[in-house]
Amino acid sequence: MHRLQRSIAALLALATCLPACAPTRDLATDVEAKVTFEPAPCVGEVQCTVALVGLDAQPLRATTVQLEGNMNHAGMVPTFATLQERAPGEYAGPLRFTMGGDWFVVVSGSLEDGRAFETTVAVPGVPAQPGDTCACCAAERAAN
Amino acid sequence: MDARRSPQFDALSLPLVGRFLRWKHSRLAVQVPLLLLAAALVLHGLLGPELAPKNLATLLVWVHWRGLLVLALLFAGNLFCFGCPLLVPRELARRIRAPKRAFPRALRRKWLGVGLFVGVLFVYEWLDLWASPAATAWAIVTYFAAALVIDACFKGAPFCKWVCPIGQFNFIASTFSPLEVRAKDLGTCSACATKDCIRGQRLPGPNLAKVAQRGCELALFLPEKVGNLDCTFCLDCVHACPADNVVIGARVPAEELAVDPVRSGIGRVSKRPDIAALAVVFTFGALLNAFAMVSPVYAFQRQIAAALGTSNEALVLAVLFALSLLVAPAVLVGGAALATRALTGVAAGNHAQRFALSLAPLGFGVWLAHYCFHFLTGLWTFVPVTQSAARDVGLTFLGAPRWGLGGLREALVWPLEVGFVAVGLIGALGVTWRLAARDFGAAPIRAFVPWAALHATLAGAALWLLAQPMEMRGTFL
Repeated sequence: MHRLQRSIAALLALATCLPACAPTRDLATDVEAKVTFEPAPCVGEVQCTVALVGLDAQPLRATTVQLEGNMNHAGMVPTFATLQERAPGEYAGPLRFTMGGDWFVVVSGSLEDGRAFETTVAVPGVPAQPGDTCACCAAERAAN
Repeated sequence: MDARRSPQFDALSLPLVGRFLRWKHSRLAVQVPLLLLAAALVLHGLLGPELAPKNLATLLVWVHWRGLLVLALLFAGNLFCFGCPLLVPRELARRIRAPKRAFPRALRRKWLGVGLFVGVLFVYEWLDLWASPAATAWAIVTYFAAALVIDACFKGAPFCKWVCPIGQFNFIASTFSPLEVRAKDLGTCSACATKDCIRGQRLPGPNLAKVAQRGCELALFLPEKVGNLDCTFCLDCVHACPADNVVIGARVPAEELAVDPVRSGIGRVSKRPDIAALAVVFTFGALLNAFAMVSPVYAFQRQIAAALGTSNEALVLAVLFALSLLVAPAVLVGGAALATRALTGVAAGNHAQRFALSLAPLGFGVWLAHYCFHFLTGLWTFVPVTQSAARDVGLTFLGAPRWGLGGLREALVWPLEVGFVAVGLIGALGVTWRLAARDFGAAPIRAFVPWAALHATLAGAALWLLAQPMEMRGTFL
């Protein structure tokens, strides 16, 4: 029985260490993407604006900015958008939410200096019915 | 039950399929690839993208595996248990040391399995397992560990029979399956002196104690086996029977729910409240699991939270589960039982326990509709996620991820969902009528009506839920 117990313990220890082996990507870490939607996220197409800023809060210009909208439930087809520059460091374009629920938006692209960036923004509680209020907007409204 | 003596169909006689199933190592040939797949899912869950739609662990477990599981149950039988990879580690462990102890007698009922089934549903909602690759990977590891520990400590297959929540789901769902393992000719069984199908084949000579081919580990003696309850389709009986007297035959789905003979390894189902409870939890759990994916649940949870004055999600979820799996069944099933008593004038006998089994086909229809929605609308999503996973480890031969691949449109899946619920309802009504005709010969309609009304109500609730706009969310407050 001891051999069996030792084997199980070794397997569990190995599994516990596994997350440390996760591969990492070389991405710029000094980029913050501020994402806003107009109108508030709901099922359908909304206008998305991304403001890229550096650690010094100054706008950062990028050569490309893409959005990928995804639900947090597996099995859904993602939606994509390539944003156009509207002002220095500010990019805009339409993004379609295809179903109500919790979404996240991956903002990625290349900065002018050639470095790649990627950041994920949660968009919780996108309402299925137009006119409903999503959880994040409700919280924002309550705070105001 | 004449069909038991003259089977018209035998999957073991099919070309290729039959030959494969008769092969002694057929189960292992399915289990090993699934074990490797499970290992890959654990690795990708722990090391791969943290975003659920881009991770094989969350995608293949919560979308594809669940969909294929229920479709296999609908069109064939308990195929997942046949290929269950959880058993491979325990087989290896038993080569090191064979367990001698029997599973505790007090636990040899479905209560533990029912409790764990509810527990799995609760954890799924509470921890948003569908949205967490790492949590899904740990869930897989936990399943393997539980199967290994329990079956390493106790002989037979106690994990499958009494503990495994997936197994209990499969057992009750497979009562609706069109195939069953059964004896070809009961006369041959009567003449059998060795009972290899349950005792196993022993080596001749001085090694008589050594089992060359084990018999049924779930204590199902083939001549007295009825239906699919507790059958894992392991086919040990097929390999053990020296008279080649076992078939995988066709039968009328759900028929086994309307008969009450003494079943090997089970007894009479009418004397098994644990199996009745499993059928009830299976059915109301199907509705709860679907309810948790649509927008009204969030308003309801906020009401519960306000009433309790709490923002503790686990507490609110626990109340929702208690309402859905205890209060609602008590009111609805209890109400139908009281109505049966009032209409038939038969006070004796446990109407709720008798007719609870008739819920199983409807519950299966709701599970089918729900799981097939995710499976069919996300049918091809495994392609880009696999391509992406391959690229992450440097394999580029699969090409760039085609993220636009999805599945069937929701509008096309909706009629299928309605059809699955309708099939479940028809099955439930059929079983109810058979039970009423069997036990209330003089006025079966009086016993039938309350339960038919319950089935129609639950089916209506299921269709309403499935028609709601999907809101796949993990938080509600």
